Amino acid sequence: MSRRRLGAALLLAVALAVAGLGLARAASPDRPPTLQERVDAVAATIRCPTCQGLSISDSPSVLADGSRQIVEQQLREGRTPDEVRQYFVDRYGPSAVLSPTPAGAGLLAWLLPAVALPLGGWLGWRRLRRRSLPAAEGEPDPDAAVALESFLSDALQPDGTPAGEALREALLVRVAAEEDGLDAGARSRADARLGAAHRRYTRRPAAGGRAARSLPRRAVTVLTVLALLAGTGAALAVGVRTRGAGDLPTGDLPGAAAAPGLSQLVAATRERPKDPQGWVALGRAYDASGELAEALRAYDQALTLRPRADDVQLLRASILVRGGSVGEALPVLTDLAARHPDDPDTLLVLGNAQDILGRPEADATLRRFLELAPDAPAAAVVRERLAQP
Amino acid sequence: MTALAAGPEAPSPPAGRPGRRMWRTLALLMSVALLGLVLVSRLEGQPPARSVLLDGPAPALQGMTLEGATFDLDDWRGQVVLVNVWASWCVPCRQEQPLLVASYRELAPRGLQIVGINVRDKPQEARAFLQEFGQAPWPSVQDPDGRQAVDWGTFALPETYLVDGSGTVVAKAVGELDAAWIQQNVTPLLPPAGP
Repeated sequence: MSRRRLGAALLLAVALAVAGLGLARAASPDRPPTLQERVDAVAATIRCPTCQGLSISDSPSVLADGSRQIVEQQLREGRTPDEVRQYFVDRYGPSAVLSPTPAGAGLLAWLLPAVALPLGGWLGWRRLRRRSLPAAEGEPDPDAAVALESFLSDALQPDGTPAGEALREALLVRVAAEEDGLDAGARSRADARLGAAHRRYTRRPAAGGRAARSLPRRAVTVLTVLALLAGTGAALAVGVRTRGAGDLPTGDLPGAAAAPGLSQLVAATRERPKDPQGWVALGRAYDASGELAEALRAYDQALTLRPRADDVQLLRASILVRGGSVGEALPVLTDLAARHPDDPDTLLVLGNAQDILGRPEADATLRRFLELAPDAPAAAVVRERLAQP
Repeated sequence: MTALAAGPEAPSPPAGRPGRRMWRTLALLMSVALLGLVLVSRLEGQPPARSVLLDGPAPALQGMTLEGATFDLDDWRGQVVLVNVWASWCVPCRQEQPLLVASYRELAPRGLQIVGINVRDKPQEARAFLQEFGQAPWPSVQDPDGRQAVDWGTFALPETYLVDGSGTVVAKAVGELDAAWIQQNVTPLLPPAGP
């Protein structure tokens, strides 16, 4: 016995050690999680605004992608996951996070299992213990003795009510235990059952009691079913109402797949912040996805590393033109065009800038562009523009 | 109904005090009701019309407009502003646009400003949309990835927020605007029409 116990203790110790090691390994992996992994982890906890019950990392809807980018940007800026989640709660309410916050009704969702499980366990344990208690005590139930005696002397004739039937059954069990010569435990269990059945039988009201007694149980069943049905109905009704008119246009969107690989490019600039090419690539990606301010910042980074990069200067100037800061772009573009008089891209951007500012030399610049690149994608638009007076 | 068949389903031991069953029933009912409440509150989510932003300060709105100019909502502090979240691909946006244009014509002389947030749209398509309705005279900030819309707590398009002179979000309309909403919410904030 003691050897077996030792073996069990050893086994338990090994199991605990393995579990502990596994936990420690899971908690501190070999490398810190990448930004992408952190974004995924946070995004998975935030509810997509337009679709009930999906996280923004699982949803293809209109605003889920923007939400994801916000998560990424905020994590990049050094905010904690909780701060990011708070940002969404501030805008969409507490239901923006998929796991309820431990406050208000959300607290109930956290506490209920924590309270219900030990409570249920305790109730079950008490019930089991009580059932085996009389056997341990060995005390005969006085009620059981009275009932058995009057039954055997025919003074007690249980009627056909449920309580009467239960009492008759308990009596038969008790008699059988006596006759079969069962052990004391079985007999005292039968005693306990008989005593309880007898008390229930004698205590009930004499007339109309049956209906009164059996009502609560039936009422509980009916009320439970009604409550569940009402709850489901209410939930469904609310769900249907929530999907109102505003939810119509979700689905395929033009340009829904914004800037593939943007996050990889961001990660690359993090790993090699001194590589101007990385910043240029990031700037182009931002440019393509329409985030002009971000693109401008990336190009600026590239230019601080390599100030004489004319191609980056041109990219930056073209953003300024599109962003409305034409005045700032013009001197840069004029300078670039002076150094690269035969580069159609430079001439196109310069021509556009001059055109926006109403400079007379715009036409000449754009014509020169057409001469150099008559088949460029922008050529048609430029021809149209030049055709106007 | 033999004696032995009753073994495993033996009735529970003494029930104790008479009121006990009543308490159990009550406890069961309460827990079912609580469970129902929790379920309903979880399923329900946030009703979109009731934005948490209501009665709070308006989020920032800065960016580039469809015309290429810069826009900052802060520059309009002190004025009544409708912030309309829209896109050319959104059907209800198309339906509400005439009302927006009409409201602007009627109420801009009394100080109403409108700014659009153009969500996940191609600028040329957005401009074509506006042209179709006679060129909206108000700016629309480009929001190619929907970040501005999320900043405003937008659930779905279109949504319209009403910001008062102190920069507080005072009303929100979900879905297609109607004239009654403008009448009820926007008009009272504006000074009466001049003679």
